[in-house]
This record gives sequence, structure tokens and C-alpha cells, in this order.
Amino acid sequence: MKSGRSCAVVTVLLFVGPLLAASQEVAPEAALVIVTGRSYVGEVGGNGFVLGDGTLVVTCDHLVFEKSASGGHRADMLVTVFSPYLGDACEAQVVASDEELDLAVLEIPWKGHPALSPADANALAAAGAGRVIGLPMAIRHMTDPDFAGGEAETFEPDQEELPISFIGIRRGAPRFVQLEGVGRLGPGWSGSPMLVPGTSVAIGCFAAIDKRGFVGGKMMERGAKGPALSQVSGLLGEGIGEGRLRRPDVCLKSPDDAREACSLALRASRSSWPGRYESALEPVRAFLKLRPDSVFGQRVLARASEETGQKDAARELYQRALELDPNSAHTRILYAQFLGENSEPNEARRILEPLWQSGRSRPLAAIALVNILGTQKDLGRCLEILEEAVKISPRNVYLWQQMAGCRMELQGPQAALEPTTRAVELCPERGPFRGGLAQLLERTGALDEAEKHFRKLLEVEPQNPVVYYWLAEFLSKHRPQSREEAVKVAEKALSLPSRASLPREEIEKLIKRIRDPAPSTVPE
Amino acid sequence: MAAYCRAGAIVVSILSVFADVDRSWAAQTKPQDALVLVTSHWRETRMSSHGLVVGDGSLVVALYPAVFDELAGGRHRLAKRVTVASPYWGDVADAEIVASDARKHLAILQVPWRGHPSLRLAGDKSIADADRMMVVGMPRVIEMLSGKSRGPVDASALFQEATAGVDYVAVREGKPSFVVLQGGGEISLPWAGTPILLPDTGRVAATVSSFLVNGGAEGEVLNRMGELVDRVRGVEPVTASETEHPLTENAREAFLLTVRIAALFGNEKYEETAAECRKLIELRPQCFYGYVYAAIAAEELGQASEADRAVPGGCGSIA
Repeated sequence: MKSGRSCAVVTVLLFVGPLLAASQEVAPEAALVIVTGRSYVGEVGGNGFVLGDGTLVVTCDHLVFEKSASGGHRADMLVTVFSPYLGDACEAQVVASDEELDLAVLEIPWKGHPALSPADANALAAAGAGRVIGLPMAIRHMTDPDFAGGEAETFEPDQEELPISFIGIRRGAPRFVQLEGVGRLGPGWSGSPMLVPGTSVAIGCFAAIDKRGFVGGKMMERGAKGPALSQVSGLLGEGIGEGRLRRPDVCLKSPDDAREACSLALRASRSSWPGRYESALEPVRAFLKLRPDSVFGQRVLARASEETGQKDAARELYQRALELDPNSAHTRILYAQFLGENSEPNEARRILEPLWQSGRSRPLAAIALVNILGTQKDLGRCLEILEEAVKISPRNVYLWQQMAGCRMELQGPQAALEPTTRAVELCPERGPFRGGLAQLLERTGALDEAEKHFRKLLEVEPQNPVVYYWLAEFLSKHRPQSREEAVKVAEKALSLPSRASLPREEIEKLIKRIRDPAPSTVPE
Repeated sequence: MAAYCRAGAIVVSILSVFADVDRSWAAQTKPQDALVLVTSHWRETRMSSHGLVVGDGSLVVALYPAVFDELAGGRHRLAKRVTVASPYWGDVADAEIVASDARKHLAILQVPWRGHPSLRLAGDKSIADADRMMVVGMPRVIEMLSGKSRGPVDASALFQEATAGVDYVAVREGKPSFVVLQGGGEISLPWAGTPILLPDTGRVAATVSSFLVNGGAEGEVLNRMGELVDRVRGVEPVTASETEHPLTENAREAFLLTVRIAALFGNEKYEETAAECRKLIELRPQCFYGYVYAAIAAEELGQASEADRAVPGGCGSIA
């Protein structure tokens, strides 16, 4: 990111000696960061750690890509990195990832941040044990609203040392490290470095708890597993350069207010979600007092102001954030969204088109741009963008969903079937996509297929009265022989907690209609 | 720290300088020639899986859970009585469990054979570098014996093979410990105990010991087995058989008869069992197996005198 923040860091390195500290021996905890990934449906958070010259962060792939629990969906997220050492937060770009290994490398603008060194294959082989060090308490406070353990955001690292069980290699090259047992590792530990004990050399990145079985299914071993850090260099390729994997001679000094600032940033981020924006205002304002030039702070305050009805303030703050970092994809997407919702779609397009063209965060830019173009009824351009975007990100369910919507408008339900089917394949566990497909199939006369999906929805969302209502309605319309079943299904809908979108009266009316169908109007 | 240095030196050798003797090997034994059927017996239950002849032909690698009875969560362990049937020789022998390692999922059996075709072990570096591996087994026989398939197995379809990518090789203390083959689900439970081979050399790297939820299969590397056997006094070291060993006449027919006898007996078809036993006795008059099953079948049919006659001189062992 060629941002104002980067410039500030360079200035610091050149002219402000006291802010630098010798980095010969880096305490591993100084390299720990918190990584959050935000998508259209929620936020995930976990650990990460700074590597090399301070501009690279290693974390888990599953923390920076949204995925389906049972399908192939995979979509970019807006990624933010929080540093308890610097007391700051910044936008991060995924520069390399390996989904199978569950490894991702992010780029951040904090050159000189204390960092760990990656162990090469021989150093990995020499390690007899792995020490996992992370911020599980802070992560759980960040991501789990029901979690009540420990003190919030103390940033005191927790650690667990376990012997190495084995190193998984493929074609002679180490792929991952598995530790013997799991100790206290579990929720809140993903993305933590696995270190050679007593050093700042990272051998792996804790990603999952692996279970190994035996014929007949008897469980034998559980172990903490993570990709080998020796993979990072190959993953980055020649473009990034070996130089960035080496720690600098000097590193940035931790400000006295670092932990306070980081805590405020995390509280603000955690509250930046529909229904909670009001509570983001206080921490983000306090954070901005400590870090007035933070793009993150300006953006979060802008969003919170927007959501709490202070539109002029929001506009000013977005513009300030863009001045600080004109290339910020997060800010441009959120500002464009704001403009689109406030009757300025042309300005929104002006901001998003270059982002879509530039090659950075293209799938995210595509979705935002299609949202804007859709309000302008420029559906032809929408389809052009989406056809290209699904080539870049073919497993992104949102792109297929948008394509289905565009095709529906332009070409009718038959043309929307293919992208809707693709969306259901990618996210079979999400009811709305399957519901959309079932209704499309019904509209196009593929009744048997439609019924299959309406019935499957009862398994997907068993507590949702809407899906029972849909099936009952379908049966009453198309399966006269199943009238009794339709009544039972509708009664089941009535027995479930009601939803705002489906008043009980609607269900009662349906039951009445099924029991007393209107007389036939077919002339004699 | 000393431990790290030691382990380090060993792993470096895995990655670069393992002595790899595979190239000097002239393939003589087909992998299937070294396959055997291991059946364990305990009270009324029988369990069959694959075994693999190694060394001079007197040692069979079997799966630990195939020959020991254990109860989950407890310390009960019972060594079951084991027979080994060879499709190459068409013979059946009693086997003795001479070594075992629950953690490695392996047991080593000793049989009174010499010169049975056996497989040579792959070098550690070949295992570490392998991209793909293959398995050879008799899954249809196992399915038939476990009641999952009733169809007859004929000699031409006795062996199947499958190839899979190597997901990873697990290296412990510098040496390959187990191999995980990539999913697809083709290598499933009926393949338990089959050898995992390096396709280029036909040498055996591991034996299939467990199956993963993603459809992958795991196998224990057999190079470590030598250490297991060396701990047992009186057992010959694991050196490959050098003897010429032509396929025995009627071997496949005799082997398939033993399989059919076990399957028919398991399905309580005693008259048909007795008929098949008579055929086996004709082909292999020196083998106890036909006599023993003929006797038990006769007993089940209430023909006590037939049972007496079927077991001449107390020959044989178990059922």
C-alpha cells in the first residue's frame, strides 16, 4: 500500500531516531497481530504474526477468505490487521495463499514492525518441539460475544509448548508441522506462530487440530497442525523477493499508549456491525485522539456516523480517509456504497471503476460496482463485469447470485437458472440461495426439481417457518394429491417462532386456502 | 539442544542423501505374489484382511487390529488365533504373532514357510520423494468374506490395483513414519493391510492401515518394521528371499476354495462347505484346512462320525 501511513513510516525511519529500536533479539510476542476478515455475512478473527522486514503477515487462509461449510464457496474479505505493539490498525492485502495448507500471507505498510524469521527446511527438521504463542483471550473477546473468560484485550500472550509429532512432506519438501497433542490449543489460537522454543524463528502457523484414526475408527492421536513456514518463500514467488523475509537491523519502537490504542481499535471494530454502530462511536473517537491520521479510525468513524444518521460527518470522514490513503480498497468500497445509498451513483461509479480496473480487490470491487450499476439499471455493464469477475473468482457465490439477478432482469428466469444452480452448489447450506433456485425452477415448470429443493430446504433451515410455508404453498398449487401433507407442513410453519417477513396470518390464510380450495372456474 | 542437532542431521539426510538402493533391484516378484489373506479367529468371529510376505518368506506383515482383540477405553488385549492363506502357493498355515506395535498399527506374524515370494522394502529417500504410489490387493475377496458381496470371485479378477497421489509422508525423527494417500475414496476398508508400493520400482513403502474422512488412506512405513522384528529373539532378520519360486500349480484354485469355504461356513451353509472341503482335500491333501472345516461342517450337520473321520490324527488347528 503506497499510503500516507507508509510515507510516515519512511519519515520515521529516516529522521526520528528515538522511535527506532534495535531488533537483534525480538521478543516473539512483539510480532503478534490480530487479523480480522469481514464479509457480507459477518466477521472472523484470529491471530497472525509479522514476518521478515515487517511488511508481511502470516495467518490462516480461513481467516481471510469467506468459505462455505459444505460447498466450494470462497470469497475475498476486507482484511484488517491490528498491532498491539504499535497500537494501530491497517488494511491488509492478501499477496499469497494456499487453501489446502490453510496458509495466507498478507501485505501491510508497517516496515520495521518487530517480526519473526521463517525457519528453512533444515531448521524445521532440527526442531524437537514447537511453542505456539498467541492472543487467544483477545481473539475470543473479539469474535465471540458470549465469551466471558479472562480480561478483555490485555494482549498478554498465552503459550503452549508441545513436542513435534511429525513433519508432513510432499515430494521431499516440508508441507506442515504436527505437534503431539493439543494442550490448551483450540478456539482463538488459529494463526498463531509455532516457534522453535526460546527463539523468534517460526516453524509453522497453527491452523487446526488434526485427528488421526485407525482401521475401525478407533481414535488414536490428536495433534495441533499448521503449515510449515518454509512454504512461505515459495508461495510468495520471486516477485516479492527474499529480502523482505529478512528481519531489519532496526525496528519501530512501541509507543507507550500502544495497548490502549489497540484495545480501542478492536472495540471500535467489534462494534462496527448493524445494530451496534452506536457503541462504536466512543472507542473510535478515543482511538482517533491517539492516532489522528489512522485511515482505519477515520473509516470506522465514517461508517458509524453514517449508520447513526450523521451523513455530513460521514461524508467528511470518508473523504479524509481517502486523502490519507487514496488507494484504500476498504475506504473506496464503503464510501462508494455510502454515495450509492445517498443518490450519488455517478460519483460512486467514479470511485469504483478504477478499483475494478486496477486489479486490486477486484471481486469485492465488482460486487460493489454491480450494486451501484444495478440501481442505475445499467444491467448490460453489470453482466459484462460479472462475466469477467467469475473468471477471476469462480467460487464466489455473491458474484453468481448477482449474475442470476441481472440475467433474470434482462433475459428471464430460464437464463437465471444456471448461475443460481451454481450458487446453490457453492453454498448448499444457505437457505436463501436454494429457496431462490426452487422458486425459479417452479416458475420455469421444472416442478419435480423444484419440489426436491423445497423439501431439502426443510433440512437446511429446520427452524425457519418460511421454508415450510413455501413447501406447503408449492404442494397446494402443484400436488393436489398431497393436500393433507401441505396442511401438515403449513401447520408446522405455524408452530415455529414467527418471522417478520411471514406473519402468522399469512400462514393461517394458506391453511384455509388448502382446506377450502376455490371452486374450479373451468367452463363446462 | 543436543537432541535438535541430532534430529537435524538425520532429516537433512532424508531430504538429500538417503542411501537409495532401489535402482539396483531387478523386479522379479510381482506385488500380488507376496499378498496373503490373514484371518483371525476368536470364538465365533472371524476377521479377514490382507497380509504381506516379507523377508525370507516366513514373515507376514499384518494389521495390529486384525490379530488382536481390544476393547476401546480398556486394557483388555487378546492375541487371536491366526491363519494365513497364500494365493501364490494355494496353501494355508497357522501363524504366530511374533511382534506387534499398537501405535504403528502393525503386527508381524511368523509362518512355517520358506521361499514364499516376498517384497523388498523401498528406501527412505524414495518414499520421501514419491509423488504417486500404488496399492495392490484382493478387495473383492475381503468384501465377500465380510458379507458385503456375495458374488463369486474368479481367478482372473482376484487382484485389483489402484494408484493415488501422495498427500504427504510423515517424517518422525528424520525418518518416514507413515504415508497418507490422497482422497477419492477408491482405497477404502476392503483394502486394509494391502501394500503401498512405489510404482517405478515395485518396492513396498508401507501398508494401508487406516482411512481418513476425506477419502484418503494412511499406511505405516515398513522400513521401521525391521527394528520391530530385530527385537524378537529367534526371528530371522528381514532379508528378501532369493529363491526361485514358480507359481504353484492349482494355487489360485486352491486359494479360492479356501475363500469359498470360509464364506460358506460364515453363512452357515454347511453342506456346501463340506462339498468345497472335499475339493480342497483333493487338491491339497497335506493341508489341514479342508479337513478341519469338513469336520466342523459335519458337526454342525449333526454327523459326529463324519467329523471324527474328517480330522485324521488330530491334524490341523482352528476354525
